[in-house]
Amino acid sequence: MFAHIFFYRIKSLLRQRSLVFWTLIFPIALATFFKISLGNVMQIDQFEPIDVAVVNNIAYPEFVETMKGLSEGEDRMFTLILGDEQMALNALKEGEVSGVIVPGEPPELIVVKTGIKQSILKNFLDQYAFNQSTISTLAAQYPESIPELMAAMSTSQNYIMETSVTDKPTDPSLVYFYALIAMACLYGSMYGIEEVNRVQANLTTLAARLNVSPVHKLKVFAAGLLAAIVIHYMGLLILLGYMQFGLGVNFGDQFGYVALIVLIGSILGISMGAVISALIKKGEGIKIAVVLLISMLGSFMAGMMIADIKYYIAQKMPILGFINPANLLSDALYALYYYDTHTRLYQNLAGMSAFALIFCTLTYLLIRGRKYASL
Amino acid sequence: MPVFKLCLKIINKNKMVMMVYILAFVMVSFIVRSFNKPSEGLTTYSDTKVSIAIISEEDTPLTKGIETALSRIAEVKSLEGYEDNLKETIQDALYFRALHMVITIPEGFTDAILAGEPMTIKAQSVPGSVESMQVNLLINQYLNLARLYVTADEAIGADALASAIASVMDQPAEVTIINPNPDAVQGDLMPFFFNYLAYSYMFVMILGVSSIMLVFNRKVIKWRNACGPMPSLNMSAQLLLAIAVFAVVVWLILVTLCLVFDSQNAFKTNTLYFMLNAAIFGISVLGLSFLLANLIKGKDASSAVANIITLSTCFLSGVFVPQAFLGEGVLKVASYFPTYWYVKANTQIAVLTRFSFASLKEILGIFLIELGFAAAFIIVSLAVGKRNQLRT
Repeated sequence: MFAHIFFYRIKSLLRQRSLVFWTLIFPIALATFFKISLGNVMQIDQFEPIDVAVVNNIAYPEFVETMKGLSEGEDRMFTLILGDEQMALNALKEGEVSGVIVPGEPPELIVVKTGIKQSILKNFLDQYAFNQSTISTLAAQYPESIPELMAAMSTSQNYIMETSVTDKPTDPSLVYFYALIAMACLYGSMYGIEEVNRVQANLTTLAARLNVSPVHKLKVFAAGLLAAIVIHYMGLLILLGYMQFGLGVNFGDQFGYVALIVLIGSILGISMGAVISALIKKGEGIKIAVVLLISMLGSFMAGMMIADIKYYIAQKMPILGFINPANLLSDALYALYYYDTHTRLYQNLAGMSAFALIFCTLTYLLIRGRKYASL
Repeated sequence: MPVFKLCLKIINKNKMVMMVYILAFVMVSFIVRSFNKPSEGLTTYSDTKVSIAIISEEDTPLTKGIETALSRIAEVKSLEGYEDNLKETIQDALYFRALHMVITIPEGFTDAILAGEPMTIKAQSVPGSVESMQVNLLINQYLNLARLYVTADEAIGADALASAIASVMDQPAEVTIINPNPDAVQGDLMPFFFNYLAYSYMFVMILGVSSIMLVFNRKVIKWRNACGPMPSLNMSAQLLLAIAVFAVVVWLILVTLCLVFDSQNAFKTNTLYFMLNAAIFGISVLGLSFLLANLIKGKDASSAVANIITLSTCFLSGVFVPQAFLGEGVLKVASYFPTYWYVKANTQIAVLTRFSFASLKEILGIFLIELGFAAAFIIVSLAVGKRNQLRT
């Protein structure tokens, strides 16, 4: 009997096109859009040569030569325009350059707005001015060491050893995809709503008929839930496969764990829908609105629209992160990908399981042993 | 005008769903606004600071000097209280760019510098980022100055060295900030709001128009209307009028929100063009939603279609992510949607400084393209409507 109900639930669920749309097609479409628009986001904060105009003042040939030297080659610092003041200012106003440098003592920088590029230009000019004044001070103070100073001046030593904090690329777009998976998991709640609607006699006529049949209600419900989990999980695996192989989203190399996170996420989503469906006696529209609101708000706070939100919440209101199922899910994926240890992954998995357990228990308590005088 | 009245009634009944998308607009605008403060025409220059943390394994005048020097270009944040999971805290902070660099000054650093020996500071950063470049520049500058002093005077102490460098660094370069066009829109907020408006506008229009058309296209109602005394032209005219009124109301709400959220730029000439652009975009959206409403066959479908069409066009056209970051192929595809042209016009309006015909020519061209889309949508939807009519 269990198998019979199970298979018929599978067939029935697959025929509900709007369920399939929201749990499979919509996340796939959204993932594609994310990829298209975030594909280049890695390059946004990468350094690129700064466009700068230098007023060609013959009184300061050394400065102009220095600028020329820094504007050559592949990993150059600047892209240089040399010209008279009028031309340089025009280039600035047209937005062709980030700043105009007027050589002098000290050199002057002209900008139209502030920003990191302008700050780098200023920092560079400072450096040039500091070098000049240091040399003149030292030369006056220690005339005997001028040759050594000149030699020291001509070389520049690097005092920084840049290391990366992990060997994994810190691709900022991952948060968006992880939050999207969390959303797709929570959208499973639509299956949960459907399953409860199918067994609660006061919700649908179909359920009323089912309740008078000589099958244990738990058996019907369990078979339905299992069918929902199977279908939803299959959909999620398709989504994961599409992200990994179609879009090249990096999940790290522990795919088994990813599959586990998503499985628990699917159960969490479906049980959340079930409990909401059992709690709210009003129409289906309200139920769907509530789960969509929870899923969307949750994913938003897990960084689906603005990644920084996730970090902000983790820093300022960590408790909000712990009670947000979407954040637990996306954080589990993030921790799995980015950390070397599994501690935080397990914490997140434990939180998700706890939520799922609470939801299942609540659902069970809410729908068991109901008797109706009339319907 | 019974048809007109009915349309307004239907819209009124469905207003809650549409309000959600207006509210989403308000919420996003609010968040974006709090993240970047509207810039008032800047007159004094200030450095854009990067965020760093310093882990110093020794405490000497020199390390203090480096810290002070860094505070010119960076906001130095403390890692105190995070010792338990320092590595993961740093990882998180670097991932979300809350810190751009964490530098570790090793023990024995000061002695090595004073002795003129090579020594390096360990820096964990987002590799190759602009911000880490800035910090690198400053630290190297500081220590190369130190090297010059040590070369000149081998017996210089840490105290003397640090104060000497500090006094050198006291005379920074001069920066002049000019505002080439105080009348132009300042900051990026206004263009952002108007771009983002496309999302809410499209969504609300598709939902609203399809909710009306779902009623009118229901078979029994269609049949009943067909045998009523009202000429079909009159009925269509009232229908279109209602939809147009709806479009104008939504336009008013959204534009008002834009102006309120960036009130500083509300009374600039550019803003007028933003509003005009939004209105013209509204006509093409009206056409599009009329077409979609004639194709949609159910309430479930209408929200699915609204989601897919709105999100896809907005993502591809640069509503959420600037067009400059999108690939060429993507933009080529996007140019088949009015949203792309709307965003493109906004981008150009934002930097508009002269309002002569010559400088407006390109923008006016884009307006024509948007109107062309509107015409095409309406013609196609009329054809679809005719086909549907013949079928029933």
